[in-house]
Amino acid sequence: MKAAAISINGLSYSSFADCNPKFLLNLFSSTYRGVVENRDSFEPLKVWKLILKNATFEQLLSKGVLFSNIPITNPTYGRPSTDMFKVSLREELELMLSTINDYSDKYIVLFSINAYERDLKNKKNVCEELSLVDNYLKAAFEAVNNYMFFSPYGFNGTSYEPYGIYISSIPRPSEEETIKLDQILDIVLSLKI
Amino acid sequence: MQELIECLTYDELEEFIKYSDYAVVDFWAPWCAPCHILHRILQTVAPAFSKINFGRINTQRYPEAAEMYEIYGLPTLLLFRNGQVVDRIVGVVSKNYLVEALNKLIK
Repeated sequence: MKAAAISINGLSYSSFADCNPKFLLNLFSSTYRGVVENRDSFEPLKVWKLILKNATFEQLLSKGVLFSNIPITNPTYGRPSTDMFKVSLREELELMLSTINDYSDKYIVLFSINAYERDLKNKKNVCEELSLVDNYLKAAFEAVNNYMFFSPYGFNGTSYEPYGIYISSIPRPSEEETIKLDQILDIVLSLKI
Repeated sequence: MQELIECLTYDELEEFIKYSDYAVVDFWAPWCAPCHILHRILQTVAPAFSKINFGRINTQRYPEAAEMYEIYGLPTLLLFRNGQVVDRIVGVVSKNYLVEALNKLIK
């Protein structure tokens, strides 16, 4: 069973409405979906410490999770990692796919896409960026059996939203509740079941 | 983007509807993913309809609002003319569909 959890920091359902990403909207209509709610912070360091519950790379590897490109250090934390100020979105997405191809038969790959939010801060076009992400998430979806695409908050280029996306092959913990950051790791761990 | 959609409490809801010639109320909940998509569509459409007052109410926080207006699915938009419900839109609809419904409301 191959599994991957991909975070696209800053991706929001608002951008779905603005840009109509074809693959993600199709998936949204046909699988489990929900909303990540984050009232804690929009700073990647704080957000990811909450998601990972301060676990180290080795601790999570022993539980079967390989985390990659986590934006809490630069170069990013995990294996593989990148220079998060220099890597392009396309390079990061390519790295996501190669990590899934190389490791997802042995580990649940937890990969963070960081360049999307960085590019939006640099005033790149939201819909062009999302179109690229959409294409690569389709490839990721096709490479695994279980998947989870999520974002810990939304960002539209000018302001942050406390809501992120959740689209997954498994249902969220509670139907009529948002998903909190400290629940994400448990969902990731259940992807392999 | 300027926020033209007023966040309403249950206590404010009735007066908001009563004192608006035309009103649109978005019944939503934070856990409802399609609600976030529809909200954005409403945000982009609202500036073109200055005659209409737009509001939204969180039915998780105010379930009595959903009960009062018989909201069985989220998101639901209720369109009011002179305090009366004249249209009900359930689920996410396209921008064009929404514009058409709002034009019909103020016709």
